[in-house]
Amino acid sequence: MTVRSMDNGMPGRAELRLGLGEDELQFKASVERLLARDYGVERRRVALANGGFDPDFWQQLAELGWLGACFPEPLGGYGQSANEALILLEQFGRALVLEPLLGAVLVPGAALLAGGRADAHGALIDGLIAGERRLALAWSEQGRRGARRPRLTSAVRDQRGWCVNGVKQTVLNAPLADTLLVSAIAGEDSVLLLVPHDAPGVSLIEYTTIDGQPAADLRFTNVVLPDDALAAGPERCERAMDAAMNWGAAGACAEALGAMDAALELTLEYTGTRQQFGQKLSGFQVIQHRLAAMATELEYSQALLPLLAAHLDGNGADRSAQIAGIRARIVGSARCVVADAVQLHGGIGVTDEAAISHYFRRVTALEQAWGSARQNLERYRQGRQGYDPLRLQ
Amino acid sequence: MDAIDTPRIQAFRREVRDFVAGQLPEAIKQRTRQGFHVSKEDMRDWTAILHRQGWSAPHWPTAYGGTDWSPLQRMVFDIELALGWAPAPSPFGLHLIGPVIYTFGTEQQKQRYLPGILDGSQFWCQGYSEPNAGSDLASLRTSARRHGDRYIVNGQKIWTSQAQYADMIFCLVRTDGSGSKQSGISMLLIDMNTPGVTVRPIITQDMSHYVNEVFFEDVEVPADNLIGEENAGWRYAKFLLENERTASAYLPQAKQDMNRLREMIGALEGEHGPLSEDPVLDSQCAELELELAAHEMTIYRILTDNARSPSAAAASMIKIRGARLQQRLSSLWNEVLGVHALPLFTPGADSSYGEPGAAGAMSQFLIRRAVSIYGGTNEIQHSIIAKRGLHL
Ligand SMILES: Cc1cc2nc3c(=O)[nH]c(=O)nc-3n(C[C@H](O)[C@H](O)[C@H](O)COP(=O)(O)OP(=O)(O)OC[C@H]3O[C@@H](n4cnc5c(N)ncnc54)[C@H](O)[C@@H]3O)c2cc1C
Repeated sequence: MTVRSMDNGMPGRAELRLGLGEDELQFKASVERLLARDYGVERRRVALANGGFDPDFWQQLAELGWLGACFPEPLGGYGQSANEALILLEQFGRALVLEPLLGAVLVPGAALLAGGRADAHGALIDGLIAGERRLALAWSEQGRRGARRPRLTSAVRDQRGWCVNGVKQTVLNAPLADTLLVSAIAGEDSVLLLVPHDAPGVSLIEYTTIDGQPAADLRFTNVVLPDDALAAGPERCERAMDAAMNWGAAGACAEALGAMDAALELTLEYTGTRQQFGQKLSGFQVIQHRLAAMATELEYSQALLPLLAAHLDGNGADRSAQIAGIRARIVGSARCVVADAVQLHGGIGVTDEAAISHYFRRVTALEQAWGSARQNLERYRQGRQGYDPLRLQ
Repeated sequence: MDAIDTPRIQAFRREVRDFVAGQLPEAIKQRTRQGFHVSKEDMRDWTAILHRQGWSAPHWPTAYGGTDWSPLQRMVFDIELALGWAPAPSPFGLHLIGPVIYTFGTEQQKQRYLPGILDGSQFWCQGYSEPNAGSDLASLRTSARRHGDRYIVNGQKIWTSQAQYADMIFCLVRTDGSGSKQSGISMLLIDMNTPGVTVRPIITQDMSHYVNEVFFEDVEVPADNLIGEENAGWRYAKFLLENERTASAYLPQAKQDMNRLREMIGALEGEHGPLSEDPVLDSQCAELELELAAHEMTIYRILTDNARSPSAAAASMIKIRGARLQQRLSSLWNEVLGVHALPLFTPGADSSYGEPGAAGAMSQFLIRRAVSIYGGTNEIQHSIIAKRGLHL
């Protein structure tokens, strides 16, 4: 999302809107409708078996214009506020959509925009919005947890352009990306570079993640790139990484919200049907209390979504910290809810066949995907200004 | 009064530790350290090694090949094995049906089955749960009808761990449908190779094959394979559950988990330097260390102070807390690995990717959602504490 200037006088966040507008409600309904109609269990199963990706579905997303959610209008997208993307991702989380809207578009897209060279990469952005191109942000490195500053990948500038060497590990959706957005250390500084998947010297070891998404470990051996491969120079790199991770955090929240909503629904359904000791499981008070607590957790998490959007759309100095804090809180709740959901299913809950286990796995992955839960809490603790995330005066 | 750190026990601890260091084959050790489900071969080979030392079933009476160690000593033994990365032998023969056989079985059953359990060559599985009889086990429906000198068994079991390895299954079957649910149940030993027995795998969320469905279609079982008396199976099943009160507390496992955690932390760095210097993570570890200490002390107290705690309630308490510790410890592995926790690994597959140590750890994390479900769910255990411990 673009960093807008603030004109509402609120310190460091956009207006705190408590509900969705008419357009947004319509959008939400249309996303729900489409996924209910076109993204059933069977389609997902086929996609899972085919490396976690369905090209037709991706094309459909592009045709609906949904891939442009994180790009501002001047760049060809339709991003008005963070809400569109959050709405979309929440529904994706509900339906357990495999296709990586977050990883292939929103997260690297945010880095591109904040890297300050979006104009130079107009064709790439057009391609992303049209569904013809996909990116993967390659930032994580072996032996390092959550460290955003690259160390094991280097970029050297010479007369030919850039020369990249090194490794990245656990790069989500890299096998689907035509271009990798790679963080590299350049002397004392860091840069972000666009590396074509098929550039000589790039090799991937591909695998799937616990929640069925393609990922890879990458190696770069004397990969030579032109000057204009630069996506974020030294002075913008940290900001670009922050923007990407902010979107990763926010997107994880939205997906986790959808996932926990669906997990509760499935559990209500299951405990309302399954009988033991001559009665429905949901007839036991212990189970009722657990379900009630899960519903409360969900309610509290959903309530934070507008605050998340307000911080995402804002430009506060502690914007990243605020987003990280909300992420820690929502994803932490989601983790409890899906764990309880599995528990209440009994044995069937831990099987691959049961839908509920897929929600558990997805939330587990979301928990760690763009900076882990605790790390986010720590980011909030250290970076927050004042003690009130709402900031109402 | 018992003490855990007497010179005698310390010497015993060292003896066991040296034994594991000297006798556990390096390849088996490395595979166990990795953390996937232990393979049939590794369970078999390690049990055979223990057997040669006379240590494969320390908890059995000496007359049947066990030892005269105290309960405390046996726990020390289990802990040392786990800390030395020895694979846990299959529990179904050694811990579950073995004691039932030597307590209630016929002479012939003892001679026939105990040696193979003791030396690790025979594998067993436990056929209790059914699709509609989980927590409500007594409503099981798999039927055994007597025809002369045999039973004809029909029905289905589910969640049968290691059925794909097993030579034998011990089953709870319904031999009488008239009286109370508990009263018409018998315990039968069934050869897995009998015609009419079919095993179908169930894949769990760690994408591995550990549990199964087992179908019985007109399976003929010699009547000699009945344990004890007909329709008294519930009694044997309860004996089996209560025989080793501390076995399902998984203390050795939790201690092993803690070592795994420390190793992982030692191998990684975070945003601001080595993870071992990360104060937030360290405080999470500190919490778990204290929880583990309380768990461990509770178990020692139960082992040495039989009179005090109501036994069934204590067993349930440590089962619940042991499960929670296992889940919390493995969640912390996740947290330590961060994004590197995401790759899916399956045993034996190419492990040329990912963070060293992540492979089996994440597989364990996923399957550990089951530890609060199998062997009586947390909810059922809480009911037992309320009923038998607090008389509510
Ligand atoms: C990995 C794994 C291995 C297993 N291995 C074996 C094996 O080798 N042999 C074997 O026989 N079985 C095995 N089991 C089965 C296990 O013992 C059962 O799953 C367990 O008893 C729960 O039964 P269920 O799955 O039918 O769940 P259910 O009984 O349907 O329970 C579903 C949920 O309802 C709750 N619930 C049920 N009744 C009540 C109540 N009265 N009050 C409050 N809450 C209640 C439960 O606690 C649970 O949360 C295994 C299971 C797993 C997952």
